[in-house]
Amino acid sequence: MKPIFSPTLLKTVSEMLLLVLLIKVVWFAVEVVFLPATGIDHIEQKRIKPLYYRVKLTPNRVTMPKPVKPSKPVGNIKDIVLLGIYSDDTFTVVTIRYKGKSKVLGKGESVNGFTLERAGATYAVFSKDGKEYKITLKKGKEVGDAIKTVAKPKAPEPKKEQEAPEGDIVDAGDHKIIDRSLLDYYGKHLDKIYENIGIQEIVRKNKIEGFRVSFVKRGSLFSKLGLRRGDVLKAVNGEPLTSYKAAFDVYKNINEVQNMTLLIQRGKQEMELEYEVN
Amino acid sequence: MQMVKRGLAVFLTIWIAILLFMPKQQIYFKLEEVLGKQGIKLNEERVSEDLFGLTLEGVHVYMKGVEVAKFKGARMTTLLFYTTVSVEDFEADKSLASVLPADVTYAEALYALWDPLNIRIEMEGSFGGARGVVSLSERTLHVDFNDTKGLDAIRGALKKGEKGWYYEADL
Repeated sequence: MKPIFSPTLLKTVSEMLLLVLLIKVVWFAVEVVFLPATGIDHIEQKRIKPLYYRVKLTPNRVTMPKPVKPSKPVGNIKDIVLLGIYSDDTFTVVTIRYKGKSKVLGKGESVNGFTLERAGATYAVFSKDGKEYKITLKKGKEVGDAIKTVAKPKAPEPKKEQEAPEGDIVDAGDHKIIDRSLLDYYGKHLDKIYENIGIQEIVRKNKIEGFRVSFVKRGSLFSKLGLRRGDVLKAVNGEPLTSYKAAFDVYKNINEVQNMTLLIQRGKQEMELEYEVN
Repeated sequence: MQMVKRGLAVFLTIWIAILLFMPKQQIYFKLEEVLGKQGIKLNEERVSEDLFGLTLEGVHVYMKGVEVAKFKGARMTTLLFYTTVSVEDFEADKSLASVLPADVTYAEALYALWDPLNIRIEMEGSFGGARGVVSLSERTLHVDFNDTKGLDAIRGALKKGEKGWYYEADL
């Protein structure tokens, strides 16, 4: 009697099935011994956030004092020597010498407080404080070689994006006033913060107890905050800085802050630094 | 000839069996465990596996408890000798815009047995396109950006080379 399946084929199939079973057993063993049955998920720590109050006893908000620019000494028109002129209907440019250096000025540009208004064949007219001053062209040995070359004014360079923040931090005695533009700027430029201040977490028994200031760049805006190297940041507006999330939440919401109280530990002493955002 | 056929059949059976019975989800959990030790956690809405890989949907990336990014989906595919991991619609947190590309529409990492010391990377996003390589021997990451437009936000983290802007980091 002829068998339905060839014994060789049956043997081969059996071997294959055995092989598959062996692989399944090996994977099962790997799964049981080496692989976790469940994944690790981040669990959001939700708790009731305490309300933060800062009582302000002064009737009006302290306004940001405007920095007073030191007044420049009044310039003299005699300090400007006219070396060359190029002028047509649409274009006026002059070469001058001021404080030993030659400069090229376009119409509307200023030097020493004097603005170039117009130029004729041998003269240029500057204005300052509503008055006009006429300077005539020097010739020959008085100007040397400078009169021979009249360069075209360079095309104005495209303005770069305002990189550095314009605001300032002002000490108002018991607290400091921070210009809001600074918060806007540093809220968008996290990398710029780390160029000016170093902050490291303090971990004890696998728990964060605060963040230590490892350095503050001298002369930077961060040095005006009153923070020093070695200070430990413990809480912001009553919110303990005991996790990266807490610290990052402060950073993310910094634009909405009106007042800020920073609890720090300096040496063995705890102190509060008060800030007002204006 | 019979031997060749038999050998091929055995090879295919082993290959398919390994792929079929591979506990892909548990391997992914192991990856999560390894990343967890580095402070990185992935919360996914859905994980599903099939013959050649694993699909993740709605993934949120946390670093040391802070949500730093999220992506719509990810696909891990393996043929054992050729493995790819692709990420779709990666979106970094806005506060990290100066450090990370804000939007990556598609990113793929490729590891192949014939190039065992490198992982190739390709990305597309608001910054244009980028290609990079992770050198496993030198433990470095190098990414070349094809386009100069749209790099303003992360230009501070980039360097300028002969071929254009690039990012380099030690791992």
